[in-house]
Amino acid sequence: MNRRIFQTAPSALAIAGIALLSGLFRIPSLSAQATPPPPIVNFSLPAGFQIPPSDQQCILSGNRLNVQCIIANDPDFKRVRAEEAMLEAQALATAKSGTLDPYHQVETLGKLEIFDPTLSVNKNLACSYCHDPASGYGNGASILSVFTGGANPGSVPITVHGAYPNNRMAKRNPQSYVYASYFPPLHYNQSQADFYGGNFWDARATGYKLQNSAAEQAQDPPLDPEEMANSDPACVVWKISQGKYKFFFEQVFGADSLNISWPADVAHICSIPKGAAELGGNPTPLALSTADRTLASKDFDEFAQAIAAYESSDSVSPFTSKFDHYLAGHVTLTAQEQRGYELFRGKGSCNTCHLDGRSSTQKGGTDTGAAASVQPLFTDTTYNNLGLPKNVMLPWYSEDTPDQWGFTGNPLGFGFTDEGMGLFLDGYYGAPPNLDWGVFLPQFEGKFQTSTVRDAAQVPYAGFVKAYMHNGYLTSLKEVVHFYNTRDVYPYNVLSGHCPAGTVEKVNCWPMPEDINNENTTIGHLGLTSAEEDDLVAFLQTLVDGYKP
Amino acid sequence: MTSIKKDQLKVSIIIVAVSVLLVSPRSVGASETSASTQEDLSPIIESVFDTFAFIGWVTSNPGGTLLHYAIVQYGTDPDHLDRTAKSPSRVNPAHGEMIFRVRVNDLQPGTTYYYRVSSQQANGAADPGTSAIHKFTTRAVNQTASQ
Repeated sequence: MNRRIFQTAPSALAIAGIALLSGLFRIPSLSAQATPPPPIVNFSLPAGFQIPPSDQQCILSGNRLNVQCIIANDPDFKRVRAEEAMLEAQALATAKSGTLDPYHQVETLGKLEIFDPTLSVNKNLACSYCHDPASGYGNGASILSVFTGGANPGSVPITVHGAYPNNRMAKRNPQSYVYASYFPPLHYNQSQADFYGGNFWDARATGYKLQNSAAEQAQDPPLDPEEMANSDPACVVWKISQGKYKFFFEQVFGADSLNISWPADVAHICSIPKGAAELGGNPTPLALSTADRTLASKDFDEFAQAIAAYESSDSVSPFTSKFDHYLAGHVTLTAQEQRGYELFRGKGSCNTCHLDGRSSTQKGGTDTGAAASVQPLFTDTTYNNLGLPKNVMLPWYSEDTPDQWGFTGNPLGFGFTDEGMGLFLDGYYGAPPNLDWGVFLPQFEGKFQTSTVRDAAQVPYAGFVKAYMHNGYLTSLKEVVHFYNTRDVYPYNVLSGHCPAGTVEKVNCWPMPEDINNENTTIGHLGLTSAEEDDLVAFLQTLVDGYKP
Repeated sequence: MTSIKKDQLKVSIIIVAVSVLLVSPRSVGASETSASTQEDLSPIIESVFDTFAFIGWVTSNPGGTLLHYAIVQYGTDPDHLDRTAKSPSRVNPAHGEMIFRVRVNDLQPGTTYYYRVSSQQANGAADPGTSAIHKFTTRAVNQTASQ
């Protein structure tokens, strides 16, 4: 893929031209031929996982899913929708009570928005369906962790006969909301020669305008054709203006905030999913007056800020894990948790990126043991390439033909390489908001966000399979730690599913990295024993919020 | 000698002395011969395969930017180490030592490569430490795993 448009300092004219073009459509690759995905072979279910009986009818040949069948039948899908309907009703009752102080008003508005499925184009997908509270606000369907790398179905089914998948599917495992609002706006630190902050696996929610990266993140799925698929940001605003908490939005953000003159065809326009050919690439198909468009844009910003407020709240980011109580002196760690903690900042090298708040000094000083931060984020908010293998299970690789709306999600098919920050800096999503950043592409291609480890171990119930990383390749914390420990001990130049005879993938065979550029070597050869890996996993369990001392 | 000429002489000596100090042979990319380089980095071959290899070495904590690059300059001719492999690695400020590791890709099977190692901060500033030229041989294709 050779789209190195921003690699060298381009002329102002080139910048303007590229910005103009990229505002209209995603920049296509020079090699536009779709590569069909290979058959999924040598696939086995994770140990201890059984396909729910109601899902058995949804398993297609070749280890693939009938996604619409899963949506209708899977117990996790039902659990998530039922739980969130209850949370939405709770939030609405609270909003109507008239007893909230300003702090809780904004947070409750965010809650109402996050759990509202009517905000998607087909009124069937809330933000939190993909970001399940019980799963640390990440993917909440075990069956998806196992079969799709955690990638969730979007609002739009695919009804083309014989299509696989039969629903639009995102290309990545949804990131967790927890502590997302603690990632600052994306910033290139010149002294460190490194990027910090931003939201999304690939940093593209920079937060530049509202100076709030979590708010900017909240504005993306509503308009993503693979996700909530609204054709126009004003459609989200229109839906709020027609919905049950219109009064509350105006209470928080001002009377007449939603007093917009909608065109006669607003319902029709807002029922067309993003990416449909009939929209012609127009990002704002609703005909609004200039003043109404400005008001709708402000409303959309405020919608997002309320979501960020909810993400900052104690419902999402409370700092109430066992480790937090340990830092406050309320509890002690078990022997195994303590061993894991020692490894986390010692041989495991984990706290090099997953900052645990320990004191430290530059150039080999002494760790005094006192916590420099009493609310460590367990991330430095930087980006790294862990050398993860390509997850051949992603339905994204099969979304290479037009759906019934004439939209093709992934024209490259299996030829698509997830370059992480490289996609963002290279213009895949349109020109980055700071055109100076393009020059950093060579150092940041292949890199993905350092997630917080907080709540990584949170699962809805024992036996739930959780997918980790941007492509969900790793499906347990033991696998994660084992990958960090042995990636370079068992490297094979093979694709997933093709480990040589005599080896077991994810045990003593790691397929080749999807993107070899800037592969980080802090990890990969840690020299941990299996028992030490287990100790680290035990420590990670102490980072789950909601612990009662 | 007049006092002015003494001062001029002093300044000249100082200028010459400083110039000699500044023009030191230390620079990444210079074609140093192993005979004239005092090695204080001791790289080891962590593992070698047919088309890639891992090389590692340990130094004291280098400080500087948290993001660092471990670097291997290599080639099939010890007098022309014309290829460079660079791996990003992060410094842990609380650790007294730093393990640098590089993954060297796109190698030919059954081939002997010569290399030297170095490291630098994210802003390009070189870390101290020099390396002699070492060598390793990649495995032939189909050769079974061995050390």
